[in-house]
Amino acid sequence: MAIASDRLLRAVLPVAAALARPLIFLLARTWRCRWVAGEERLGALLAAGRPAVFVFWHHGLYSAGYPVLRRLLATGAGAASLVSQSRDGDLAARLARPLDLALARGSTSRGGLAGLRHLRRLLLREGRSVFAAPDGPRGPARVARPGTIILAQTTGAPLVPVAAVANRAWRLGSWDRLVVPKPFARVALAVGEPRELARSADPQEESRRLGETLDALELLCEGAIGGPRSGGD
Amino acid sequence: MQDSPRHQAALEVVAEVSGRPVGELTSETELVADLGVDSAKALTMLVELEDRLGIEIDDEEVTELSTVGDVLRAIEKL
Repeated sequence: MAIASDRLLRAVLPVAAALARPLIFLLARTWRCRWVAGEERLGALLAAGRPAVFVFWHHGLYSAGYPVLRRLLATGAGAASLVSQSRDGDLAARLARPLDLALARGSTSRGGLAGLRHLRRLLLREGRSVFAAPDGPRGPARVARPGTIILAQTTGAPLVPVAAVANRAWRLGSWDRLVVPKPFARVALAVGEPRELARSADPQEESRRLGETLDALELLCEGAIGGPRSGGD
Repeated sequence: MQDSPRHQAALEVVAEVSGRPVGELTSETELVADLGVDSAKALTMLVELEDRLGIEIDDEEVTELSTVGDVLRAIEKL
């Protein structure tokens, strides 16, 4: 029975991804994005053409990560991300297929080390910026783990926090309560100060600091949107 | 354990990452169980080993590393 349902899911997954992909891209085009902080510094960073490690809470994958990714890809720069080896990761990988986004597979539970090493190589050898959720791929939500910190430390790439809040959004029932802004939603976006981390910095302490920064940026967006908060709980 | 400069450098890396003195490390010391090396610490350890020794350890090789002795044998092969 389990094998049959697994086969069914494997067969359905490509179809579901093919159907969802254009809908998500179309939906994102309707969002009215407004930068409430850091647009200039993001522009300067992208203009410099230097790879960076962009980080956002996992629930902001679409609302925070995707608008920055699109902006980066529009400059002709490359990007990379880490997706889990689970079925969720398969779906994410299929959804991302049309984008110039190199994917490393792995998570903290399975193949995480190989995934992080792969991301590091993509950044150093191909100059791709990394997009990552420090609380992914399975949470706990809003608790930053040190993988992305170490990635920034050991590559010399600046760590760039990003947050977003939409005035109207769907919240999925997943562990992260993924935010999907509704059509024509107003999305407030904030980019924090890029930081280059010394190799000697304590990853645990830096993770805590990153979490505080992401929460503060989200509050800033919430204040700017002037409506019900949909960035986090 | 052998005491070549390469081994010594590798032991220093393992000691720095795990926060244990070099003198406490033996070939049988388990990276996870004894030193608490999780995937984040392992990434730091591998990056430091590769950068300091000018080597590149294969991903497949990495999955076989469970003790300090495994680390030393892996870098000896390169």
